[in-house]
Formats: sequence, C-alpha cells, structure tokens
Amino acid sequence: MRFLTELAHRVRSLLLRQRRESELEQEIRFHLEMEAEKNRRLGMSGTQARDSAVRDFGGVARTKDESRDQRGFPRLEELLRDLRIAARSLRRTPGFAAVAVVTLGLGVGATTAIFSVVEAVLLRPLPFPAPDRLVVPRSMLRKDDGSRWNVTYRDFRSWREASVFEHVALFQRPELDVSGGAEPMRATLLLVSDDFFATLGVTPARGRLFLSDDYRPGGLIPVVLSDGLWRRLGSPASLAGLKFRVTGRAATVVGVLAPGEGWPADADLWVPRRSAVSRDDLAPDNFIYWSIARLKPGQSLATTTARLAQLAATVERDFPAKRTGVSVTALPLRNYVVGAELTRTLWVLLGAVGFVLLIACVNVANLLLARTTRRHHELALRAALGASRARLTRQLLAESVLLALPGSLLGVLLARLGVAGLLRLAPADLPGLQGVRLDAGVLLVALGCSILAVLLAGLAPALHGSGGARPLALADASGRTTQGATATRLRSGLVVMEVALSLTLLAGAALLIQSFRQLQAVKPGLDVNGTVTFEASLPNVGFVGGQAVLEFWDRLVSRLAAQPGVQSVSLASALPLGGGGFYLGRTLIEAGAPEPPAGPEVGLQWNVVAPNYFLTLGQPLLAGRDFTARDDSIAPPVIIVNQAFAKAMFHGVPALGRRVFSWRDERVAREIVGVVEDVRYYGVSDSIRPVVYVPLAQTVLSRVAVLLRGRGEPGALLETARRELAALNPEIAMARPRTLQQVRADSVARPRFLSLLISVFAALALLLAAVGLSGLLSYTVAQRERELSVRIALGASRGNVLRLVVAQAALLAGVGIVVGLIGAVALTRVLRSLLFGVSPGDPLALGLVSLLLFGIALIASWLPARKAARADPLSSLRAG
Amino acid sequence: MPRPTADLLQGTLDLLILKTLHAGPMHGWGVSQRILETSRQLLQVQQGSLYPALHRLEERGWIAAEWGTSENNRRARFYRLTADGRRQLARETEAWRQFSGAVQFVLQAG
Repeated sequence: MRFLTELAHRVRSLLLRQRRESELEQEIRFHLEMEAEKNRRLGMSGTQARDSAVRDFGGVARTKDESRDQRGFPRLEELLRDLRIAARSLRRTPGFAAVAVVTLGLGVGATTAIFSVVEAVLLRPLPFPAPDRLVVPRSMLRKDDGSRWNVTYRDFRSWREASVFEHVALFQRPELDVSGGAEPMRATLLLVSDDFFATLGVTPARGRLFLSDDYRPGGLIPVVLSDGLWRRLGSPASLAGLKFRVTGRAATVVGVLAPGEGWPADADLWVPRRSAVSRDDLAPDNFIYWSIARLKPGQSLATTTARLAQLAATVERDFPAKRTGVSVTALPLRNYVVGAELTRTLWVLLGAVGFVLLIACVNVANLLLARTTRRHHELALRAALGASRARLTRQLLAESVLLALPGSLLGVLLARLGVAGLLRLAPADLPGLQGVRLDAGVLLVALGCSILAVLLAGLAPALHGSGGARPLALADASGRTTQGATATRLRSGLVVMEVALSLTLLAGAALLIQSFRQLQAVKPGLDVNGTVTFEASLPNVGFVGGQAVLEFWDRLVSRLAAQPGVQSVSLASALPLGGGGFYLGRTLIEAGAPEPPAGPEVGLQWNVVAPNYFLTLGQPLLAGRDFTARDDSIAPPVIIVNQAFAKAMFHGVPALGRRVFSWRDERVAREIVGVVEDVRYYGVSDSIRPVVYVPLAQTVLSRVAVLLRGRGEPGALLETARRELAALNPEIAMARPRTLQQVRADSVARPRFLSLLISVFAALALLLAAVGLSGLLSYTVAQRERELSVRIALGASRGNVLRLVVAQAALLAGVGIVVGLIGAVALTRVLRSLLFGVSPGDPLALGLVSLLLFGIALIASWLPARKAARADPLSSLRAG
Repeated sequence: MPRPTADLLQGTLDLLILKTLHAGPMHGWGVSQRILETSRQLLQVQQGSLYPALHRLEERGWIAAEWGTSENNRRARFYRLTADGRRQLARETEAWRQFSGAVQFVLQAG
C-alpha cells in the first residue's frame, strides 16, 4: 500500500515536473527572503543580508538538484535528460542522422514486409478449430520419390471401416459453369461426401450445412456457397430467393460459409456427392478423389500414417497388378496447402532479408563508431571532468535509441509500400497471400527488429567510446597521433563483415538469376507467340451422348476458324507448360506383347486433342501425319506419340505404323500415325516426359481447352471467341482466357518472384556495403590527413597517395570477399532444390559477383582517395 | 553566533523535522528556525539538507504540504504531520530513546 501511494506520488511528480520545478524555485526564494529579512533585523544592510542568506543556504542549484532527486524516478528523468542531450547532438549532425535512419529504415522495412508474408502464409493458424489435427491423405510410392497423388474410394472406405480418423471425408472438385447472375460463370465446385464440414469443424455464417437427407438422390440439389460467391451474387439476405443452376440443373442455396472458412480456399460452392458407389469407385487404382481428415484427439500423425500404410499394404497384397509399390500417407494440412518448395522459398527470402538487416546494422554501427571516434576528444574531456563510464555509455546508447524510433517508423512505411509491391508481383497462386497484412504482431516484430538492430549497432561504439575515455585519450584524441588503432581495427572488421554478407547475398541472387535465365532459355518445343486459349465445358443436360458433344465442339471450331484473323483452331484436354486441364496418367505396351508383369510397359501422359492441335501450338510434327476429321469413332483407332515416348518404347526403331495397347484402361490397340516434338508438360522446369495424343472424336470429352492461333491482338481474338461462344450457347462460360505466353510466364512466376526479390535485396546490400566502405575510407583519410600531407611534403606523388587509399579499400574488400565466398559456398546449398540448370557452387556466378563487389569497392574508395591526393600539405600541417 | 560542530546523525534530521511539525503546520524556514531555537542554538540545520529531507518525508507520506500565506503575507509552502507521520514519529522517538540510552550505557561503562 505504502509502495503504491509512493509510486502514484512519483508518477504524479513526474507528470507535474514543470510545476514542481517552479514550486521548488518559489519555496527556495521564500526561504532566502525570510533569511534575508532575519539578517536585516539583525542589522545587516539589504545586499549584505541577501548575500549572507544565499551563502548560508549553500548552493541553490545543488539543493534544487538534491530535492529533485527525492522525487519522481531519477533514472527515468536521467534517461529523458540523456535523450535530450542525444537529440541535440544528433541535430548538430543531420547528415549522419539521416543516413543512419534511412539505413535502418531500409533494413527494417524489407524485413517487416517479408516477415508479414511469412506470417500470413507459414505461421498464421489455419481458420479451423484445432487445425493441427487436419490432415490430407495422399497416395505415394512405397519407395518414396517425393510424388504424391489423389486417393481411391476403396482406400477411403477402408479408413472409415478401421476408424483411422475422427472424421474423414472425400471430395471431387470439378470446375463447372453456374448460372444465377447475368452471365454464366465458371465456378470451382466441390462434390463432397458426408462428414466433410464436420471434418473441418466449420459452422455456416447463414443458413445450414448439409443434412444426411441431402446425400440421397432426388429433389433440388442443395448448395452451400462461399462468402466470395455469395457476395458476387449481390449478398442477398434471403437465400431462398437465389435461383441457381449448376450445369443446367436447378439447385437451392441452403447456407453460406464465413469468409475464409471454406476449404479449399479457392472453392466457390459445395454440393453433396449423391452418386451411388460405382464399379470405378471400387477399382484399387482409380486415384481420382481428394480427401481431408481429422486426426483422433491425442493421436499422433506418425501413428496415423503407420496405420494408413498398413491398410494400403493390404490392398497391395490383394491387387498386386494394380497396386504394386503404392502406399498411402497423410500430410499436415499446412504442408499440403503451402508445399515444400514455397516454404523453402519464403524462408530463403526471410534469410536474405535478414542479411540486409544485418548489413544495415553493421552500417549503422560503423557510422556510430566513426562518430564516437570523431567525438573522442569530447568524450575524453567529459570523462576527465568526472562523467562515469556508465553515464557515457548510457548517453551513447540514448543516441542509438533516438535513431531507432524514426528508423522503425520509416521501416514500417517502407514495409507498407513493400507489401503492396509484393502483392502485385507475387504469383497469383501463392496460398494465403490475400491474408498478408501489417497487423500488431508484425509491427511488434518490426519494432523488436529495429530495437535489436540499434542495440547491436550501438553497443560496440558505446562500449568502445566510453572505454576509450581514459586520461591518455585526451592526448590521443588531439589529432597528433595518426589514429585510434582499436577503433580503426573494429571499423575495418565491420566493413569486412559487410562485404562478406553482401557477397553471400549477391551469390545467392546470381545463382537464382542464372537459374531463371536458364528457365527462360528452355525451348518449350512449341511456339507460344500468337496463340490464345480458354476453357469451356458443356453442361450435362442438353448434351446426351457423345455425338451431341462432338457436334457442339465441331460447330464451335468451325465458327471460330471462320473469323477473320484466325489461322487455326483446335481443342485439347490439357495444355502444355503447366497450363492445366485434364491430365491422364496411363501406361502402354506394344500391341500383342505380353502384359506386365511378364512384359515391359511405358508410363505416359495421355492427352486428347482435336485436329490441327500441333499446327495451332506450333509443335513440330516430325514424322507421319496429324489427326483429321476422318479419325472418328468408326475409323481405326489411332495415336500420335512424342519423341520421348518413341524412344522409351521402341529404343530407336521407327515408331510410325506400330500399334500400342493401353492394357490397364482402354484395352484398344491404336496405330501410331505421327511422331511429334517433345514439349515441357507440367511447366518450363519440367523434365521431358513420354506423351501421347489421341483424337477427341475417339475419346469424347465434354470439357476442353480451346486453342486459337491468329494474327492481331490477343485480347481482340479472345473477345471474338467470347462472342461466338455466347452465340452458340449462352449457358457456357469462357473460363481462364489467356495467351500461351501467359501460360509460359505463369509457369516460371515463382522462380521469377524469388530471383527478383533476392536481386532487390542483393542490390540493397551492395549499396549499403558501398556506403559503409566509402564512409570508413573518408574517415581514415580525414584522420590520416597530416600523415598524408607529410608524405606529400616529403615527395610522395599524388598517385602514390591515391594508391595508398585504394589499396586499403582493396585489402578490406578482398578479405571480405574471401570470407563471403566461404559463406556463399556453405549457404547457397539451401537453394539447391530451387535452382534449375545451375549448381549452388557455380564458379562462374561466384566469380562474377566477386568481381562486381570488388569493382564497387574500388569505386566507393575513389572519392575519399581523390580527397586524400588533393590534401594541401601546407595548410594541413599548419593547422596541426 | 554559536555553530554546531557535529554533523547531524544520519536519519536524525527526519526525527527533528517530524517532532517540530508535531507542534503544528510550518514552512521550511520556520522548521529550521524552530529547530535552532528549541536546540538552544546548537543545531543549525544545513539548509541544503533541509529541503531534500522535507521532500523525502513528503514522498513517504509522513508529512503533507500545501501552499498558504506566511506571517508576513507571503506565499509559502506549509508542511504538516500526517497520521502516518505521527506513527512514524512515535516509532522514531522510541528508536532514538533506545539508541541514546544504549550510547549512555556504553559511555558510563567506560
């Protein structure tokens, strides 16, 4: 209680300091007057009485000081005093303060911006209850090669029977056209099994989720909307009024999810999966389903994956032909969403930006140190007059704190700009990106960063500055001796560190740029210029039977081909270069050969295309012919293969005219009528894979990518296509319209993003290192002015002096580069999985950045060196 | 004017001030004069320690201060004993008696 009242009193007195001061003043004045009056009564004259009173009082200032110390927080008040003094001293050197603040701001800003992305994508909990227990079951090879794919209905059923999970659900995610607004739109629809929402643990924002009756066939299809789709439909308060058609069938909206609570994040609507279990579903290799599961409370992921592997082993034993080598695992939801590559990319970026911050720290430390050394005389004088070492340290630290505050403020401003820029530059498919924001947590980290930075930067100079304040320092600081050796050693060490850090960062950037250039240089095997594409899918209703679908596609193709400026038109189930679509993985054997395991088979990608596909893509036909309209359902089954397939299957024997057989699936023998050039299938960085093409007329698909090659502007081409599609059938949406150039660019968006950001950081590091080096040199030149003057006076040429300074720069840079190279070789290894066509220790990249850095160091030394060479011996010797 | 040769013992000044204020509210100068008088001119409080002491006692809540008008019509800061201060005075008086008694014993024993 006593403590509390005292505390309250002290706090109050701190707040009322101004008033206290004047009160104390008045009180002392009153005392002096009373004393003087008494003295007058005792017979002294006016002045005498006053003087005597003052003398007796014994030092007005001291009394005031001591009385003050009884009040408030002396430490806090001293701190404020330190800050005031620091502010004054910084105001005297605005250039120094500005450079320090900007340096800190850059470091803190870049770090904060990247951290905000890391926080949103990697650290923030997913928006579900107990998100750590959500997992994604995936199929894998028992001999793990890192590949993961979807699961089968059969496996799913076995998990439920063995109750491996607390909840587990299955879903498919067709992209379908929905109509409800003015134009049909393509929406990502989730066909979900029961228990789907229970697995996630979400509740609806309005309406309800699915009941068990909803999974029985018959009646309107119940639909749950994402918050996003609900808003696109005008946020209607009453769901009952929403008239909705899903691929032409009437649906009724029963509920809406809260923003961000839908899963997967890009899904627009959820529909109960009503179809009965089919024969396909029971096939042990029908890997077409997505799944999500919730671990039982208290059960570990390891236990669960062991159980999954055990169940998968049973299926493998039962179906050796179809399941040999296949197992099942479960990934934590976060890992599934973000993926190893992106996780690594983000940590690499954070690491890189950490380097920039570190360099900024070193730079500020260097600046502070230079300043401390310059003020050596002042500090030595103050120490001689009785200032304690602690007092001087505190004073120097106060200056650091004063730099930290505007530095972090600037950092936060830069981070805001940085985040806006990042969001614009980032590939659109980065998950969680829309959640990036500078919230309190991120800002706290920013503040922590800059305080830590400043403490790091301020500590060395502070200790050095106050420690150097020995009596002898007065002589040392008078400028008679050449320089404070310790200070220069420390500063040189810092510059070496800066150069080393920059080199490591530069090396990383060079490798990533080189890797990106390699990616750009990859010949995709086709001509991406002049071709546009969009996706279209036909509704289930109104297109009964394959013939109706084919007729529609034929009409669309011929209408589009008739448009002016259009050179050729085709259709395909999937696009190359990671453009998406329906990828089918199949295996083929030569027709008539023994079926595996007795004979060999070749795994491949199965693409379904219309005539003129190769012409439209600019993919060279190496032998044979393209498909024509005559390759229809009654014509002999045909197939076109790529070179990689021909090589894998026939080992150099001409493939044309041979027959292949899809023994697992289709069981139709197809004659090879053409061989085409290899293209990168899943993206520019993908390896060359065996790919085959079969005619659309022999494998009808109701969902395709339309390809148009034409002259003129791509936007106009797509607009023409949109008009023609709407004229044919207004219910069909034109989905994902883009150019093939965009498809190609999207496939390297992540490497481009990473290499761009790292390059920006490396450039920043380079700039900071140059500033640091130049600063150190100008300082030493100023310190050595007398020495240099003596040299010149004794006959050294200006060239000699120039060389002296440049040699110092070269030495520092050289040592830094060597240290940095060691760091680079060690650290760039983390980039290995992100690099394409270049190895982490690439000597060319390392050599180039070393040269670049060395060159920059020499340029940075030029100004100080010239100043040294121009030293006027007479004036500087006289001044000394 | 006789001057005291001995410095006041640490803490004694607090006791003197509390005791002096026991008689009634007083300003700083008054306190110093009163101590001088009651000690028969033996104890001249160093002015430089009087005000820090007054403020210290105020911080601790043993005395309270307010502005008032002095006998010669000037604005002056008057100090008065608080209830806490009264208790403290009793404690310190007792402690002083014990201390001086003990010193007395030691001196007599010699």
